[in-house]
Amino acid sequence: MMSRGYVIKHFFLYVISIIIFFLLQTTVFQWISLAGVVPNLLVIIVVTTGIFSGSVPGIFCGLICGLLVDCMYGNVIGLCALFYMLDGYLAGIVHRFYSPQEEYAIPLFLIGLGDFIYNFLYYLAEFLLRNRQEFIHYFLTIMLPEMVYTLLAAVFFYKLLFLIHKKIVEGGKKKEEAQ
Amino acid sequence: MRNKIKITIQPRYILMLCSVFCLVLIILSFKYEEQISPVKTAVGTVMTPMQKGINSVGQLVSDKIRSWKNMKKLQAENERLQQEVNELEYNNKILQKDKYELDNLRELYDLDKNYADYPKVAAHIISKDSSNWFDLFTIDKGSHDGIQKDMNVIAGAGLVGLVYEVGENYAKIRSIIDDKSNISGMFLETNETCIVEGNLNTMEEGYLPVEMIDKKSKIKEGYEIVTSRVSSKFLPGILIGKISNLSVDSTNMTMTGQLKPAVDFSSLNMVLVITELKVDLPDEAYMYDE
Repeated sequence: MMSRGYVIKHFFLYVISIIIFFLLQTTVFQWISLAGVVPNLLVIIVVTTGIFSGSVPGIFCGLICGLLVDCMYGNVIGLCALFYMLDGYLAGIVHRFYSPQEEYAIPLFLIGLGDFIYNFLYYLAEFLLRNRQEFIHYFLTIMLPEMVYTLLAAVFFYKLLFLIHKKIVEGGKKKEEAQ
Repeated sequence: MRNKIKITIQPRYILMLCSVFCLVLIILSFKYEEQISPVKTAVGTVMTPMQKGINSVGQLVSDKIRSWKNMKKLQAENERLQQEVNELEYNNKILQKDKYELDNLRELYDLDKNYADYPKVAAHIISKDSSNWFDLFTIDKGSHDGIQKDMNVIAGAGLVGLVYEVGENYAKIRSIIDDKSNISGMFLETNETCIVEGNLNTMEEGYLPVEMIDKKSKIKEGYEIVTSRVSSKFLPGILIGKISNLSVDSTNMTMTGQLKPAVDFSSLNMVLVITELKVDLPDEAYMYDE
């Protein structure tokens, strides 16, 4: 069974990552944007939370990320939260039959998929409803570059999160053995 | 000891519950936009100082790296600029003479309403919208410095956008190239009105669509578009950009064109906020304005 310290450590890992990723995304990455787009770091943390800890933490992580973005930049509160939440839930489904290992294909695929789902829903809600129909154009100039850049960033950030995750899990196992 | 009854709820029910929560929030924020803004402001007040901190540190680092790299280039540029300064000084003298003349003429015609005379506050851009879909950004001046909602923002050559939310130490700006922006403009040379629309799609190619130009008007390419007098939020006479590629609509009633903004939005880091609001009139009085 998961020990209590294990859960609390993960909780702090996620909360601190959310704040750091949000700050990075809105400041540092704005200067090093490629092809005019900024990577969606929050998708990385939401999907990672889902993969590491399951659907429920994924949902709440998405909710917090989304509300943060909505409160800072949206005019409607709850929209991004809804989309991020969905990402977290979907990643959590994978958690049931996949335990994170030193292997990055599946997590990166999920992050890319999460970013696409997020942007696609965002396009539907904010652009298509205002009758902007050139989906292909938006796909090529925003969604695709963002996805590529997010994946590039994910190679680094997911690895970092995974290493911390591994440390926490190993620490928890040692404690249990000692008991 | 640990024989507590464990309640397990299926994740999908939690997802549904949270989705309903979000939908309620969406509806609430649609209906009670005014009441919900303190919540937004609270989040902004906490996050903005952090963003500002990171930004100033990062700016310092990137400035250092850049200055290292560009030492030689800068020296050459310095020389060139020195020459330019001399030239400009000479031009400035001429302009000053012209300005003196112009001031006299203005007084004469009581046309002293140019935007050079508006009171302004300078501000740094400290963060941008986290998504790539809109062009919103945050500046480091807020209600403390006298900034209010709906104030106009300019930079160097022309109009940048409009303040749409104000906190104590920050303000958020919707730029004119933002996809939801919609400005009533006017040709400086002929006083005819038109609508300048923000558009993410066309901004990739560096222009904004201009609509509703009278077909019979005698405008030509390169004419300047300024904010019109009938705009509800924008002060009149602020330069937006230049028109090009005029064409007649399929309705055969109006013309459309392309506007190249006067401001270079890709390298914007300082703006001026005009701390004077357009006289308050009911929104219903205007049709096209944002």
